[in-house]
Amino acid sequence: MDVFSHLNWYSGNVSEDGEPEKSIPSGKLILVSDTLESDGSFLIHYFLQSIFKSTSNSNSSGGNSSNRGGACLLGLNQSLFNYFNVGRKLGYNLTTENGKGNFTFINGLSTPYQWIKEQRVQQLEEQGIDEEPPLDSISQGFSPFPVIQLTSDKLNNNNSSSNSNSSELVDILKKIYQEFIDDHMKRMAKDPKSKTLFIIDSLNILSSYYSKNKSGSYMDIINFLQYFHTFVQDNSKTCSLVILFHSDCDEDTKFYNMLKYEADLTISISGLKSGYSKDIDGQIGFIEKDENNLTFKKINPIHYQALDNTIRFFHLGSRIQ
Amino acid sequence: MSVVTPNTSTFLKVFQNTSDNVGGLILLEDTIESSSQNLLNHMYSYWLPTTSKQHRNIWFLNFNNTINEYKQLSKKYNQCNFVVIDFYSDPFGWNQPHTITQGATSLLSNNLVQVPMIFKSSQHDSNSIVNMIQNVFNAVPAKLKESPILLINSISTLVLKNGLSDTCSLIRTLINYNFNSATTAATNEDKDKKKSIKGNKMETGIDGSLNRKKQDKTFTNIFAILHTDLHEMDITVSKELQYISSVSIQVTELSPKLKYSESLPHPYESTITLITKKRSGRVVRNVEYYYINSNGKVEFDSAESLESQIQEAEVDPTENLSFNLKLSEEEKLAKNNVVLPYRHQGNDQTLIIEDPDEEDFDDEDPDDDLDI
Repeated sequence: MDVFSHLNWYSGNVSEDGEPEKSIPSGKLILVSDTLESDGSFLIHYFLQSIFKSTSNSNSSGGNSSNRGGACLLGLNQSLFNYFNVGRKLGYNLTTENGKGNFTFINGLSTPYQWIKEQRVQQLEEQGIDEEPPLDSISQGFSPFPVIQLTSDKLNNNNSSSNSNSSELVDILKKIYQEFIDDHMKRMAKDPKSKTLFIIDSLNILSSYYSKNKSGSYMDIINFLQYFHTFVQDNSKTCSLVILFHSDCDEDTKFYNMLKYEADLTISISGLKSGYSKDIDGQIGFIEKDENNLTFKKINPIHYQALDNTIRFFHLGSRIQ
Repeated sequence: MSVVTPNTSTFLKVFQNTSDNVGGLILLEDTIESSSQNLLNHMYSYWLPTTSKQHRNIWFLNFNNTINEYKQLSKKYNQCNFVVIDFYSDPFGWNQPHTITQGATSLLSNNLVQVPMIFKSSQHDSNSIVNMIQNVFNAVPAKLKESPILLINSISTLVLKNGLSDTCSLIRTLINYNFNSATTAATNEDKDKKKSIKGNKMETGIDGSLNRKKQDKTFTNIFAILHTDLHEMDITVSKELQYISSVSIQVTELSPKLKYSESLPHPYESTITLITKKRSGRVVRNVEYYYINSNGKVEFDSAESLESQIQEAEVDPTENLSFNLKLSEEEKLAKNNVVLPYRHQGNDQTLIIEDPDEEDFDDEDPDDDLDI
């Protein structure tokens, strides 16, 4: 029993093992909210694992099934190093997946020494040295394959397309949107039937960028998600968006509620109401927006336990040892 | 057992285009927990199909839903036509070259072919919204302009973007503005926006005041949806909008008594509280409950009918016992004649003994008698 069986996320085909093929539904904006006491990033690794597994299965079965796909991950919370290592534990190699075109990483964090690069160049010029030997690979930052850098020196100079209304935040959001769309187009160009899962981990830090919006940076982020939602619904067979959001970071729940209204499915990961338990790490609740009549309906929550190499899911009360 | 039939449900009466209809703002408040979507879908089933007896022209000001959802809505009711002014899809203006306004002619060529009619705008300030509606009004065929209802989904977004007072001014403008007369004024005065707005004198006085000009308001009603869980820190939002509304409808969770009750006639979803301001000035408050019947349709029960049902269900506990708990006439008489202690003189007075002369306060120093 896992999230896929609980939510009935199947593609309808049967894989080689005779089991129904798991598939994250496309055309959806999925919000994953977590708290400090119950971290939700395990779900991202879980989704990545499922995508790479089903893609490799469908490739080996002769390309008949339509469950090929890839992921484009925007890392604003963790570095690539973290995802790479977790991937190794869970059984997939991000470098090989990138080589196959199944994985793209957009680094939202800065690389080491990036912020003093300009000063260093100036300092060297003053000293009369033209170039210095490049940094060693560790200091450059972990990048076993080419990675798209979100924040760069170029971004500050490239204001030709922005008018006076845009701010730092809007520029960053536009760049993110553009990168995601480009990645989707590239994957579609190679294989029109493939599905892309956009993952943003996590949304909170974006609000700290400077925004000129008088209602606050959150309105800009919501506007940005509206573009995404429209794009994902226009391309409803070929992409979906998963957003990780920490719901306990703000004083009021306004932004969290706005995200819940926006999302097609809200997966909320919280601790157990009864306190700490050795066998259960927390509870996962679901609120789904019905496609046909747009009403919100709650799906029964489940419990989970995150182990070293796997995650176990249980129906409420069924964790018996 | 009295059950309120759909025709007399207060909720449905609000939307019937009768002489009772005061016009103005109808405010619908909901939360994620108690959503109004079922009620909206119910109203769409009356308004949208062209064959329906209660067909109305709906103009959507869209801030919250993807365009896809409106296309699906139109498909659901046999490709019915309505107007959608879309502020959702392109809030930053990334999808279009930088144009400040879209003239009526460009709207005509792009959007009149599709069903439903969708007009996009990137400007969200109040002036641009009014101008956009004016442009759309000029462009759209007359059939869609007959007593339209303007549905703002949702007004929470407007309040969050533009602020509460700005939104209230916008609502007042939309209620009173005559977009029709503005077209003739515009052709005369060279399409100058400012002049056309001044050409419409706006009366915002109380209904029934002596000097009230009979205005031809374009929109019969402004129907606005407010999500109160987006304004939890600021209760003035909800209060202010309720104040300027003609009808205020709140969809809230059932009271615990009803939620966990085992003897409800129907499985109610939510409570609906309607505050209606009549033309005479009287304010009426109704409470109803709605449930979804086996056909998937929404039905209403009023609170009074529910109370009477619950009262009828109360059974006398002294019946059906193997021993007798009832009193005979003699026993009842004797019981009434018992003089209870502390009910002095049988006059049912409660005796309060209070002596104002006796004071508890002692001026003496209690330590006086110490001999140190």
